[in-house]
Amino acid sequence: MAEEKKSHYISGKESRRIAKENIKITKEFEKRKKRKCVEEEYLSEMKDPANIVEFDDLHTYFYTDTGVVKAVNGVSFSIPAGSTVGVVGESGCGKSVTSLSLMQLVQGPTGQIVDGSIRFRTCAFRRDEKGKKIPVYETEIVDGVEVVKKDSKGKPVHAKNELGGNMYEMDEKVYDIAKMPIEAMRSIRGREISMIFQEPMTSLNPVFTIGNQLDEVAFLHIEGISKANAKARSIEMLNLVGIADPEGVYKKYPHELSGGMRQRVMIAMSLLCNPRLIIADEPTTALDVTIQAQILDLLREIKKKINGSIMLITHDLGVVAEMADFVVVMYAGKVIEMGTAEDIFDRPLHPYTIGLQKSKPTVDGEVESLYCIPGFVPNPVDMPNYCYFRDRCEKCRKECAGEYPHLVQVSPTHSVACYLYKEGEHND
Amino acid sequence: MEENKAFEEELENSDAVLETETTETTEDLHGESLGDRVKVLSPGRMVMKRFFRSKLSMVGLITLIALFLFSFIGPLFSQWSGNNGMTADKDPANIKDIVVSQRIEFEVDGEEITAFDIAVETPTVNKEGDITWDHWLGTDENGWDLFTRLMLGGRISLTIGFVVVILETIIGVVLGGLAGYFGGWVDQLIMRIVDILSCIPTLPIMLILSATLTAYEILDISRLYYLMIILTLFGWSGIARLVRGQILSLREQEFMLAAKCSGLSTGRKIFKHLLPNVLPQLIVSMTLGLGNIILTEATLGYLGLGAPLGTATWGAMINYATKDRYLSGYLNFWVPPGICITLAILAFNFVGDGLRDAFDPKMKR
Amino acid sequence: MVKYIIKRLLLSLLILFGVSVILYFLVRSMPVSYLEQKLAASMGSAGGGGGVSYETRLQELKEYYGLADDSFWGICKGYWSWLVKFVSGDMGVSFKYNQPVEKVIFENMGVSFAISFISLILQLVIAIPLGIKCACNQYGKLDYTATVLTMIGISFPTFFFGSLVIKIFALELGWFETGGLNSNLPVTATDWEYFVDMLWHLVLPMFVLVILGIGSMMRYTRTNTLEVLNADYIRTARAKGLSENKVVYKHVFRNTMIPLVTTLAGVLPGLFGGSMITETIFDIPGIGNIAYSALREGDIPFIMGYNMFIAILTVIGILLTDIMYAVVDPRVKLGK
Repeated sequence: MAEEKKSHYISGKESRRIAKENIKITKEFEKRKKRKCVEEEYLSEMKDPANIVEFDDLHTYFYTDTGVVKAVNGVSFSIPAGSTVGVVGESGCGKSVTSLSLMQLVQGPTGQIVDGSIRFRTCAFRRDEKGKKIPVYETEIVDGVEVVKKDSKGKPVHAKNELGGNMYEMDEKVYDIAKMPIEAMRSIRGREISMIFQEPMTSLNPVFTIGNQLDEVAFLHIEGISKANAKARSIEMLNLVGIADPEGVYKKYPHELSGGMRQRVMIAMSLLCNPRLIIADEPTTALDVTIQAQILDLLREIKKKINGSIMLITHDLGVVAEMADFVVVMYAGKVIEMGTAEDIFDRPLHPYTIGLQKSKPTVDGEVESLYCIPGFVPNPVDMPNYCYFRDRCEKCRKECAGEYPHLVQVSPTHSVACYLYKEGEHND
Repeated sequence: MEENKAFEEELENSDAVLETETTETTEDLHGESLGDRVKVLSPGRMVMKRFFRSKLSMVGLITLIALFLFSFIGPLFSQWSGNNGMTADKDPANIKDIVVSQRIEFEVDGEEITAFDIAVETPTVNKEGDITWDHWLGTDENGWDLFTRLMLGGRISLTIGFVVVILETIIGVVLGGLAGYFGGWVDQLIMRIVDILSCIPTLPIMLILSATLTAYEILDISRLYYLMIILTLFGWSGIARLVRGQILSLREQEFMLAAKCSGLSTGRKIFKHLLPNVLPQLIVSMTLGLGNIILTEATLGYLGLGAPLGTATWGAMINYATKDRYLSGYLNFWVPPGICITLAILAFNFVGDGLRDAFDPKMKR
Repeated sequence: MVKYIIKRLLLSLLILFGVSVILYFLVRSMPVSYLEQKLAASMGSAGGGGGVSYETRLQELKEYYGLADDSFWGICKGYWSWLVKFVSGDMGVSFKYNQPVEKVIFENMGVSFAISFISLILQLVIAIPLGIKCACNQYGKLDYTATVLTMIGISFPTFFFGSLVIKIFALELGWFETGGLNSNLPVTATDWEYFVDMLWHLVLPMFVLVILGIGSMMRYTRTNTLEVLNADYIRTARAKGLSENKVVYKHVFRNTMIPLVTTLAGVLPGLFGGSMITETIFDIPGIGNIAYSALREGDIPFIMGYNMFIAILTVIGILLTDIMYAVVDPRVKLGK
């Protein structure tokens, strides 16, 4: 036994070999991310046109010196347009990495999207043969004929969109984000998908004013916007997120604001370009309870206003219950159960989900001590091929020694990865 | 219905069987439960591992070992190491060579007579000699073997470095620890002294002190001890500042509150809980400090104010570079000690840097 | 704010006071006979001391430092009289140069400042972009090469590197002069020729200063940039859709500059006080070189004056550091 344990240490030689291989592998990935390519390479098709995002067998690995950490290991789920999808799981289960993969923000070169696809329905610019965007000009009717309006210098006048920027011809397209180069990804980041991070205290650059950081987004994504318009837009957004003195806050530095205020600023920043999808990565974890409620209310309201979708990542079941339409439960880099909020909260199936529910404190319950799932999350390096929850599971059976269970669909909306359940069967 | 019941019974039975099996399997699994698959290394081993992983620190370490062997073991194999690299033939009283200058053969009365014209000659001292098999780097202006002096110089330079760093650290830790731990007027007093010391220009002060030593005619080996004391007195302030800062930030942390609550004595708190936390930074700054002291010693030596006359140190040897004659004509005089100094400082820097990275838990690789 | 600055100024005065006490006692620790001998020697070499007799000068010196009385009170009194004179701006007369010390310092500062300043600018221009570039490609080829080279640069002792440079570029190749500021130009030489000649002489010393100075600055930039690159707000900046260049040169750069700017205040003594070793090696008549020969010859008034001058610069540098912090980092308010 002792000898066997010894073999689990990684020797210096092995670790060097791993590091060398990692460098080779990650270099290849980094090159792929930086490559120049035509749009066709990452063009894709949605499985279900009602969805805005589809994760399909996504694998995101971290190439560390102790081995490959499969942080996201074959995750598939989708976000229907106009809905809120909650992703739940304990810390380290890969939920944040899933969201970062969607933004291609996984910290390189160690972290890489290895396999699978992330299909995103985007509103892309239509481009001419030279790869340039095709502008839309304002027209006027002169002598009964519609002609392009010209300004005093004879240049055509850009038509303005609702944000005050130049209008271009747009197309609905589906991109596979996992295959996109960084360069192309940039026009999606912040414009169509925006992200709110967990740590409002450190997520804003301390040396620039709030206004500077907000305007930056506008200048970046709303082409041709004037300085005054950008400022107006920023202040409008600050107003929208319920900041009482938007002009004052506009001029302030991040350190002069409280955590709740900073998170509002982050939300305002994410709203600036009317994104189709907002990723909220534990947006309330670092805030105290009263502020949490306010921020959640704000998010819900905003979702209604901009008519977008939200991907809400949290370990707090209460938050999910309150906000989400659909819930995805993750464990050790895999989806173990997903369904509508009712499915997950009223009829949880996977032993882990049931355990999670039980470990939530309730007011009326007379339980003396909180339920605690025994054991620990397994070490993510060198995962075995059987249900990762087996060693902690109270309902462990003979079949569980077999290979990792597939997701089984127990009802049209509800699926679970556990040997306890069979296709279409619903044994509560 | 009946069938159903029977089925249920069977199911129950099978469940029971399953249960026993489950316990068995879990026992089996203990051998390789998921958490066990990769061992978590202890912090000390992690540091070692990270240190040895870094190529640069390994290069530094190997260079250091080589320099130490060169300086401390090397002279044992040198025939000149007895007296500061003085070659034995320097003293004419020791050896007198009988030189045959002429051999005359002549005949007197049919007898062959061979006469020798001999002379007792004092051998010429091989001054500023070329590189030969006997003298790998040649000899200096006194006829002393430069290679041996280089090795002996390394001994002194490295010893000065170590002694000064250890003394500095002791003073710095004690005073910095006192300042950080007690605060108040103790802190004020010590930190003002530290401020003053760090505002004094080091090099000019060293030069003044060296001149003073010369003025008091301290020119023998005791000059080295004074030099060490001086280097220590003006060098501890950095370490004191570091220790104080660390202790101040540690004092505010929860584990110190816990130590306080469990009623530990002051000494125990300092030595058991505070010092181990300061240690990593201390080791790093000691390593980097070693390089610095060797540099300072060498600088003094270069300016001709370091070691006593005749004693070889790397600094004293590179002093040749100040003289145009040697600078242009005799590379073997000043380049080897220069390389040694640079190598030593470089190696200490590499090792110090590697240690810093190894100690830093934020380092990912 | 004002209160804070006043507090800091008082503290600086205290530090200067401490420095002066230490310096004074160091000088007092020299045997008087040694001083007399040095004075005699330097007056002899300076051609009779400019009309002032040896006795007068010695008397002057003894009086200035209160050297006559060796009892404890005598030393204290001596210190006091020196302090009073120093505060009133009288730093004594240098034996060697036969001029008031402050005059010698200010007259020779120019060359040193010019050399230090130009090489500082060159250092910054090379080191900062290089450091940022290395941090952005951590563990890349450039990073490794630059790390090793700068390490070597840091470890090279100035005198050794300087000697090598002279040997190679001046003595062997003969491209540059071994030292000095000007070669013997004909009297007819124009100012322009004079200037070019001087620049030519300064190439090597500045090369040494720049090469040896880049290392620590580049490494400092690199470490700080690495730290900033891992910060959450950099991820935010990327999430906005900013290009990598914009992320690095706007968001990272500003934050990296905070610790960098503060170290710049630390170069103040070197900037005005000259670099003793480099100036000595290349025989440049700057303040560092002058101070060195004064130190060698036991020119007490100059030593005291020069050291106090450096100490004052250091103290001002520390003050500037604090102020710079407040200027660069909006989070820092003076007085907290």
